[in-house]
Parts: sequence; structure tokens; C-alpha cells
Amino acid sequence: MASRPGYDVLVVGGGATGAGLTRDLAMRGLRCLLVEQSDLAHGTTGHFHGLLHSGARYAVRDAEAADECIVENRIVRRIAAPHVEDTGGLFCWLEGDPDDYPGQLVAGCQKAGIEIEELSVAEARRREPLLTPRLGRAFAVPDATVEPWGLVADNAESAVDHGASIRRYTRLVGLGVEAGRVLWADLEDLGSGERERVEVNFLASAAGYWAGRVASLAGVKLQMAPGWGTMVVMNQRLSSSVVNRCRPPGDGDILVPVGPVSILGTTDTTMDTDNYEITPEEVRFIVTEGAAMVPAAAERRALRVFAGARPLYDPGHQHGASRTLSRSHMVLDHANDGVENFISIVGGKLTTYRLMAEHTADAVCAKLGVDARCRTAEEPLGEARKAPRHYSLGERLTAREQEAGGADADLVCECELVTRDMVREFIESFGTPHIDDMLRALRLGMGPCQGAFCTLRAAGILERMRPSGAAALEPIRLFLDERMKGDRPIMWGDQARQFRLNEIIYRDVLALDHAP
Amino acid sequence: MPPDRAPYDVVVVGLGLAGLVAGLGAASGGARTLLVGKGHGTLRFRSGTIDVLGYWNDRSLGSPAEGLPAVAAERPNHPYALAGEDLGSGLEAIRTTAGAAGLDLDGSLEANRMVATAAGTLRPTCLAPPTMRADWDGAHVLVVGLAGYRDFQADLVASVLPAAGAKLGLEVEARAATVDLPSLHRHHLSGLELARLFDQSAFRRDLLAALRGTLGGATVVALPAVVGLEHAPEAAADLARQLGVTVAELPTLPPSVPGLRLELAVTAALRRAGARLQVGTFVRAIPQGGRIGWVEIQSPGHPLRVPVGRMVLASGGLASGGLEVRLDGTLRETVAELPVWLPEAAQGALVGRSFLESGGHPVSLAGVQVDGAMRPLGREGSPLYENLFAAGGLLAGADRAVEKSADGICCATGWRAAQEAVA
Amino acid sequence: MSEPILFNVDEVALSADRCIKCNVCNTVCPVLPVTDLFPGPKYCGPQAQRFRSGHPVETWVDYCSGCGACSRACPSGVRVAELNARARARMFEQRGIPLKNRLLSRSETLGRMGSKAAPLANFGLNFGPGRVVVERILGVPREAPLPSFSQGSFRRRFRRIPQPERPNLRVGYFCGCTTNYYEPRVGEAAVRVLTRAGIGVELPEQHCCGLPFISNGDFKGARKLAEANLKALLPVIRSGKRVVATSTSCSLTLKHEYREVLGLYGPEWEELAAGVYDAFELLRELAWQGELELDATLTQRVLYHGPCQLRSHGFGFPAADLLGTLGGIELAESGVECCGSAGTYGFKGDKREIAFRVGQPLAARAREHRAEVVACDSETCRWHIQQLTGLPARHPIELLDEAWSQAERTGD
Repeated sequence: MASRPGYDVLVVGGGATGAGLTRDLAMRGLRCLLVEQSDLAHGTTGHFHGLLHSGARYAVRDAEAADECIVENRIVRRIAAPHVEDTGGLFCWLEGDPDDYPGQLVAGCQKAGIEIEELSVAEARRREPLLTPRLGRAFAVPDATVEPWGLVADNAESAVDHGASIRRYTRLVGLGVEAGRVLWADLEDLGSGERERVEVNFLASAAGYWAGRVASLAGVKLQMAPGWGTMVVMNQRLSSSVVNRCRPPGDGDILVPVGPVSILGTTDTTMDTDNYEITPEEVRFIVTEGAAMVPAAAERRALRVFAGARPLYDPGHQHGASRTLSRSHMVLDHANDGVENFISIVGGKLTTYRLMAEHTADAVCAKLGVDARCRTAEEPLGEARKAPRHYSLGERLTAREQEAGGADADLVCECELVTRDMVREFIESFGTPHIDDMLRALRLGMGPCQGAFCTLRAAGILERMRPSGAAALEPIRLFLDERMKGDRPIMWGDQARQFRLNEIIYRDVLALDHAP
Repeated sequence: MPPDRAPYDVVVVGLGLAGLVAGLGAASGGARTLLVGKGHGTLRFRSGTIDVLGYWNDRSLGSPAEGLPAVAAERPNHPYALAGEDLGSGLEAIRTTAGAAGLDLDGSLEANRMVATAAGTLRPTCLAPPTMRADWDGAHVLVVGLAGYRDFQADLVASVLPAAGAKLGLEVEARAATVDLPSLHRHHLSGLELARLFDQSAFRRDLLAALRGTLGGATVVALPAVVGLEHAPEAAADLARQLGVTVAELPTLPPSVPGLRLELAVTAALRRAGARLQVGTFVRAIPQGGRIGWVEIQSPGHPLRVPVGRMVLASGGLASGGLEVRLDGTLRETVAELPVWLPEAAQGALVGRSFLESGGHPVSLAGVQVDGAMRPLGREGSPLYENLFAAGGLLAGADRAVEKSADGICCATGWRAAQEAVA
Repeated sequence: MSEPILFNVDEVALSADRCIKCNVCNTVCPVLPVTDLFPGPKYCGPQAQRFRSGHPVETWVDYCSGCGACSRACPSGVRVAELNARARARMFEQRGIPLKNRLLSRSETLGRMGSKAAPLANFGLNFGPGRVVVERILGVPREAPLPSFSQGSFRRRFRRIPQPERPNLRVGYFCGCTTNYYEPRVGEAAVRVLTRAGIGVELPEQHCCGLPFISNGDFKGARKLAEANLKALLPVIRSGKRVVATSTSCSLTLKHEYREVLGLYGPEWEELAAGVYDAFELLRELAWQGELELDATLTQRVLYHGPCQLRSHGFGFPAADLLGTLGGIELAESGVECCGSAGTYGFKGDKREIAFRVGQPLAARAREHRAEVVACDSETCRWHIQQLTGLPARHPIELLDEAWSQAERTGD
């Protein structure tokens, strides 16, 4: 087994927290290696509804979370401006909702310093014409939306600029612990299958709900209680601001406009599994609840569903509804468990990813005796970056009008305006990617047709650049199966129709079912 | 109330292959025929081949004829079990009509032929244009991509095709070449734009000039299935003659040029036979006693009510909108609100976990159940309306994707429905 | 902030959801094959629609001719053409409406001015230097087929046509601007045909339907006219009469564009839409009921072109259905979706060339049939077809009128 020179800190997990932590540490002058077993932002970070909390959602029950949210909301808007859309948010009280909640909400927000303003029903309806006639009261709050892939990519890039190394599709498979210290880590490259051992001076786990598994490699017991939340992506924006139900937090109480789509969320099911299977029943429940606020949700096209695991920590090992577990984060120093140079960050939410990274980095630095201040709240991300904004397809469209004069012949993914050159460049820089990686990086295949056309095209470009011979159809099969996960629980209406068209293309016409 | 005098003997709802075959059957039988539908049918996004039966019980069939008895015996509600006898006549109707427009469809029920596709796979079909009937065994194939045309990736085809052949015991060699011509540098380049280019001899001349040097020892030149629209046979023959090799067309993503050729040939024949075609409106069938009294064509403002003598319902399956899945997972037939049969396996989940689920997705078998005269059945199993006949993609009992049987079902049931409607 | 273009809120906007990208719309678009300036209905319609909220609408939308072939061909029910019409209006709102579009919209004003001084207007519009001025200001190329203003509006001529003594049905005739100011003969033919069929015809107060405003992106102007027509025509409908039109583009505007493009929803608009009929639609209904016999002859080779707007009515081809029953007629149908003109599209600057190319299959069809005359229900299409084919282009009701007049003369 090859061995590499050591790093100051090995960060495990390439979600928002891990990438943010790597950036923070690197900016403080530490040499870091970030390993991610899949693509960046592939886990919980890439499976959330896109809400940059104002804190109003927590204002009634969890003052600490509300305080953190509003502070970080303002910071993220500043440092990650290209990835934030200032949609604003509405809390909608419907006839029959608890009478006392609006008062509590306003009081809680005022206490936390969250701007809240009651709107007339007419004004709310003018802003959001699709709101239900049952709307009784409406409150505006500074919610926003944030695009997670770009956010993570920018954090990662900034980290690299500050000297960090990042390895995707690399899994931590073993840790060498001697005399209460982690000395080395075994990493497996999931593409080539090769393993290598790196020396480690400090281990920081930002592995989200996999944190328990990372800890167990070091012989530490860490009980996570992943709370799975299911979300339904609607094909069009059904609102221009975030729509929240004005009642105590519960399932199906939010509608988030993200780029061209709206996301309905969410549920909360505690289950310790890697493959949470979304049921049609919970999806129908979410859609029905969403339709209480915006009736069009029940009639309009659902595009896809996905579930993300909230990385909740269960110190008491109790099970049940995870909504009762704290949403705030915790930095766990495993010196208490007998390993001196190992810290895990658990809990939290995307809105506070930066704060979580800061707290963790503070703890790491304290233990390493490094005296350096956190600068991530002041220094904007990726000022020099020219990469296109992932979610802003309107800008892509405008750019295409100016540059391509309305051409579409070079579009690989028509739904999301991904060009041949974008795909080629991505393949150039990322080796032999899965088509699913192109989805996260470029949005390829993310639109209404769910890969009906771009899958064959992308596979063709891939085969031209990275020939694999008879296995050339494998990327198509893998991607279609991946899409199927998000399609299966919403097999009704237009998406059922789309599914049959896609089946006609890949099975009736192209006969992939009898591929060699 | 609708007007009293029925202006048409037969109203066909649906403009896909089943509706067109039914229209041919009715109009050629002398019936005054109206074909009406919301948009065009799936011919425009299928292959332009007539797939009858390629697989049964996961077994590859040398010919449709070989599998039909098993279908009839093992699945009594399969359209072939009910209308299999009219399969030959339905195929003949399409073959003759296409042939009259210069579009040959070769083949017979006695043999399946392997059609190569834009994924490099080989797929069994029954009738196909001559350009899709290349002999792949021993072939040296030059797969020709056209620069700027995104729906045909020559490298992918050349990589897969030999392995696809080997799986069937065929020896195929393939290599890829991509041709770049100034006329391909366009803002929009779908199969349809290409087909119009192929119609022009000047474009073919440029293409030939570019190809000659790359031909090597190739015996087959494989192109996307876009070789001409209005002058397709001429374009293909011209290329084959000049190159001195077989020219093969490989079906690819929609829009389907071969499907469009076929549709235009059939609709022109229908108009010549005096049938009236009306594209663009949703239709509802309105029952009156034990029959369909009239159809309501959803024209803006007020519906157009057309009294119905006999009606053929060929509005298609899920992709065409003839069937629709409701939020609760049940299915609805959209024109006449007929009961839809759903196999027990589909009552849990309509589809499997894998996109290419072996054995197919449960929902595929769902549809409208009919008797031997193609009359839709009620829940108790007896015909619902004396003058209503159903055909094509909305019929229950077949998994067209797995069996490779969609077109044959349209021909057989479309023809049978028309025969019953003019009887 | 007003939101007059209805992004994302009503049924039409949300119909973009239904697109499964099957490409059928692109197979029927008449503009796509003849120019590289238009990216086609799929791209321009449901695809771009998803990205437009908060972003400027692309200028290529203006190359959509609005013929509606895409909306009709869509198996999934996406209102592609309607989405494009709204996007175009939004684009003009964002970028300003060019003067030529504004002037071309005013068919009523232009007509009223022209008719009072018809000879002068004709001279000005159809000859030499006048056409150069028209080209510069209106953007109408010199060679585009502008009609001649008629001396004396149809309204004045209408009174001279005798009405049936005991009509079995009464209707209000919506003649449209072109019949009133440019082609009164079409209106006269229509009234003669209707009265011969035993229908009493009155000519209610009416205004330009607003279609030229809609297709030039001026929704505000169009809504004003729509309101005026609603006020004028509802009383006619409520008194139990149908409103009957001979221009299928005017009638489609009253029935469909008011609601689906301008977003004028409500029971009164539905009532208006329900009460508007095409003249041939009504005549065919009577024929189907056995209340009309067309015992007449017309020995001519006729190519019938059902214009794009007629196709969007979804009632088939009633004029062809009836003309086909005439003795001696050699009737063929064009079988093409659009002649290229599509309202005033073919009159505007660089669209002229596009319209001409779109029209070539129609011209070929006319030659193939050795047609002596082309029949078409839409006025701007007739002007365009006349230039395309060099043949006279007439409203089918003129042909029916001619056949009946002959029958009467020989019967005498």
C-alpha cells in the first residue's frame, strides 16, 4: 500500500459543512485533505429544499436556532450572493389553523431580530396569485433560497485556492488508532479500487448522518438518528416567495421556489438506512398538504421526489419522531471517548453550515494549538469564479440568446440548457464521470423529461472521449435507474406520461433491454 | 342536443397508427369517415418499423407467427388473442398504402428481422423499410455521424454494434466516422431538418464526396434514420448506388422521420379516400342509452357535437393521453370514461424499481378490456355500448415495450375494429 | 406592479407542464423549416417558459407566426402558440413596441380614414412613392399585398340587401374591419347566402376584434377593444341570437384569444365565446339537421385552404364540407397548416420573406390541382395567397353565393 505525506487535518464528508470546514481550516493556514465517498454535495446537502432560513420557522419553539439562522442568513447572502435568490418568505395562516400561532410567531421573530411584517390578504394574494382562498393572514419574513451545489463547489474551490486537496469518489475505509490517537487513514479510490494510506495529524468528521460509521472506524460509539425528509419537486414555480404554513412545524408545511421549479416539503421519518424508500403515500400526503396552501400543487406536474437525511444526533439513543431532536449542531470532541485528535460535527442545517464549520474549526485549532481567526464570515466566496450559476436558467437563456443567436443544435440537455461544450469540458476535467455527476455539476437531465433525450447524447459524447467499447450503454442504464428512484413515487399525470415516452425511446425503439 | 342527421358513418378518435388503420378500413369499405384527435399519434416518435412480436416470455422469437399461438393460449386478454386473425389484413393495409406512396415495407409474419438502432443494439421487427433491412452478419459497417446532429452518436453505435451482433451469433465489424459539411452548420438540426437536406441532391453530392475517402472496405454505411422525407426512397437509392454499398438507416430519438413518412403517406391516402381528418381538439364520447350518441369535439367557446353512427376509439395509451394516471394511482380512460383494468401486480406500485425492469412494469398491462369484436367491456364483463369499438394502445393485456409488439397490435385491432364498425 | 401577461398563474401558462418533449410540435411548425431565426415551438414555448420569470423574454419569440399549428398538434395539450403570444407581449412591454407594429394594429382606424377617401388612399398605398412611405413607416415591404380601400363601407351597403320575410333564425353578423372597409363584397355575399338560407341578419354595433393588436404585442389596446365588443355583442347573444362571422380569425379572437391569450376570464366572456359562430359552421349545422339543401352547381377548379386560425376553431372544415356538395366543382384541399401570412405576420419587414417561403407548398398544391381559384376564410391569407399563386383568392361564401345566384338565374 502506497503511503503519502501527512496532512494537518483530514476532513471526511464533502457536503456543505465539510467543504465549509475545509475552506475555514485552509484559510487559517492548515493543510487539509477532504475526502468524499461520492460527488460533492451528493448527500444531505444536495437533497434539501433549498431554503435559506430566516429563522422564523424556529422562532416560536427554538430561540437559539432562530438567532443563529437570521445571523447566518445575512452572512450567506453576503458571501455567497451568486447562489442566493432573495425570494422573501410568507407565513400563511389558513382558516382553521391555531389562532394563537401568528401572535407567537410575531413575538418570536421580534425577539430574535427577524424582520416580520403582516400583509393584508389582498397584498399577499397580489404577490402570490396561486394562494388558497382559505388564506386568513399573511406575514412576510426574510426567507431566501440557496443553491447547494454551487455553494459547495465554491467552498471547495476556495479551499483548494488556500492549499487544500479534495478527493471525490474516495472512501475512508480504515483508521489506524494507537495510544488514543488517529495516526493514519486508509482511503479507497472508488473508481480504480486502489487503496492508499495517508498519515493524519487530526481527523474532523463532517460526514453527516454517516458520522456514526466514521466514528466506529476509530472505535468510537456515536449514535446518529437520521431523520429522513421527503421532498417533491414541481415542474414550475408555483410561487415567487417561500410559502410557509403559519402553524407549529409539521409535515408538508413548506413550498420553496428554487430556480425554475418549486419544492414541496417535507416529512420526517427516523430510519437508520442508506436507502430510504419513498412511498407514494407520503408523497400524496405532501402534495395534499402543499395544496392546502397553494391548490395548484395538486393539479400541476410533479417532476421528481427525493429524500435527504437530517444528520441528527441522538445522545439518549431514543427513537421516534426526530422533529423533537435538536436542530442545532454540536461539536463532539472524541477525547471524551478516548481518541485525542478526532472531532465530529453533527446536527445542524444548511443555513448555518458556515457557523458549524467555524465552531468545528475553532475546536480543531484549539486542540492543535493554532492561533488563527475565522475569516469566512467576511470573505466572499469565489469572487474570481466565472462558472455559470447553476440554478439561474433564465440567465443561461439570456446568454444563449446573446451568444448563440437562438441556436439549439448544440444543446445536449434541452430542458436545462446544457451545451455540448459544457459536457465536454466537464468530462475533460473529471475523468470518466457518471451521467449523474453531470446532473449535479451542470443540471443535465434534471428537467421535465428526466433524461429522455440527453442521456443518449451524453453517453455518446462520453464514449467518443472515453471509449469503453461494448460497455458504452452502461452509463445510460445507470442514469435511467437513478432517475427512476425519483420518478417511481410520482407515477401519475404528466410524469406517468413522460415515463411511457421515455420507455418508448429506450425500450421500444432503442431496445436497451437487450443490450449486450 | 346534437343534430339528427349523422354526417359520418364512422367516427375514429385518435390519429395514431391504430386510428389510421381503422380509418383505412372504414374509408376503403365506403364508409363516410371522420378521424379526429388531440394532436398526432406516436408514429412521430416511434421507429417507422412495424413491430409485431419480438419476444414472448423473455424468449426471442424468430418470427411473430412462432409466438402468436402462445400469446393466445397464455394471455386470453392480449389483443392478439382477440384480434390476431386480422393481423395479416391490418399489416397488408398499411403495407399497400405505404407502397402506393413509394414507401416499401418489407417482411412477413414468418420472420423477424434485426434492425440496428442508434444505441447500437439490434431489435427484432416484422415489417421495415428496405433501408432498415441490412444483413448484419459478416458486415463491415461504417457508422456515419453528422457533425452537429446530436441524436446520432456514431462512436457509441460503433462501440456497441459488434457486441450486439455477437450476442445473436452475428459477426459484425464497425467503425465510426463523423462528417462535417457547411450545410450542417445550422442553429437547428433535428432529424427533420436533416431529412429535408437529404431530399436535396446537392447535399447528397457533398456527403458522398466526404464519404468516399473513408469508406475503406465497408459493406454497409449506417446513417441515422433521416435519409429523406418527401423523396426518401430516391435519396437512399441514390446514396447506395453511388457508394456501391448497402445504406442502412438506424432509428433514433424523436422526431421520427420514418414514422412521419409513414403517417403522411397514410393520411394522404385517407384524404384521397374521402375521409375527413381533424387535428387539434380533445374529444369526449357522450353515451345515449346503450350506445354512444355523439362526440363532443372541444372547440373553443362551444363544443361541436357530431352524431355518431359507429365509433372507433383509438386514443392510445399512457404516452398518447388515451389513458391517464390519477393522483391516487388509479387509471382513467379519457374519452369515454371506460373502466380501466389494472393487473393485480400494479395495485401496489405501477412500475418497478429499475427502468428496464425485466418482465416489464405492471402498469403496462393496464388498459381497456374488449371482447372479440373490440367492444369495450364493463366491470361485469359484457359490452358497454353497441356502437363503440376500441383499438390500439389503450387496450389491456399487452406489454408493448417488452414484447416489441406495439405496431402489430395497432394494425390487428385497428383493422378488426373497422370491420366491426362497417359491418 | 401589474402582471398583465399572466405568467405562471392560469391554465394556459401552466399547460407548459404537460410538455413531454416529444417534438411533435416541431414537426408541424411551418416557420422552423424555412428560417434559422426561430428556434421552434418546443424551445420557444414550454421550454423557455420555465426560465422566464424575472428574466427578459428573448426576441426570437417574435418570429413565431402565431399560426397555432403547434398547439393543435400537441398530443399533450400544451398551449404553445398562446404561450408565445403572451411572451411576445411581455417582450414588447420590456423592450418597447416598434412604431410599425403599433400602426399595423390599427386596422379599424386605418380603414375608417382610408374609406372616406378611398381613391386617394388606394393611390397612396398601392403605387410608387406611396409604397415607399408605407415601407418606411409601417415596415410593410413594397411588394406585400395591401388591399384596396373600398369606396363606401359595408355597413352602408348592408341596408340595401333584402331580408327574409319570415326568418326561421335571426343572427347578428360580425363582419370585421376588412369586410367593412376593404372587402364589402364578402359581407354582401355572406348576407345574401344567410338570408337565402332563411336566416334574418342584423348588423350590430361592433369594433375591431383586436387580433392585430394581439399579434403586434399591444395587449392593452386589445383589451380595450375586447371590452367594447363584449358590451356590444352580449345583448345580441342574450336576445337569443347567435353572432355569426365570416372571418375565422375575428371569430377565433372573440372565442379564444380574449380568454386564453388576454386572460379575460369570467362568465360573461364564456357567454360571448359560446355565442359566436362561423357562418359555414352554422350553415353546416342546418345541413346536418336537414334544414338546408345546397342544390347548386359551380363548375370551377377550386383549391380550398383552411387557414390556420380556422383550424384552431376545432370544428373541422365546414366550408369545404358544404362546397364539396356543389355539382360540377373540382375541389381539392391544401392539406397545409398555414399559408405563411398568419394575420399580419407576413406583412412585417423580414417576415415577408419567411411568409413567402412558408407558402411554397400551398402554391405547389394549387399548381398540382390546376386550380382556377383559391378559397380561404381569412382575409390576410387571401391577399397573401393571391401573391403566392397569382390566382384569385376568394372567401368560400363568395363562391357559394355565386353558385346560388347562378342557380337562381337558371331557375328563373
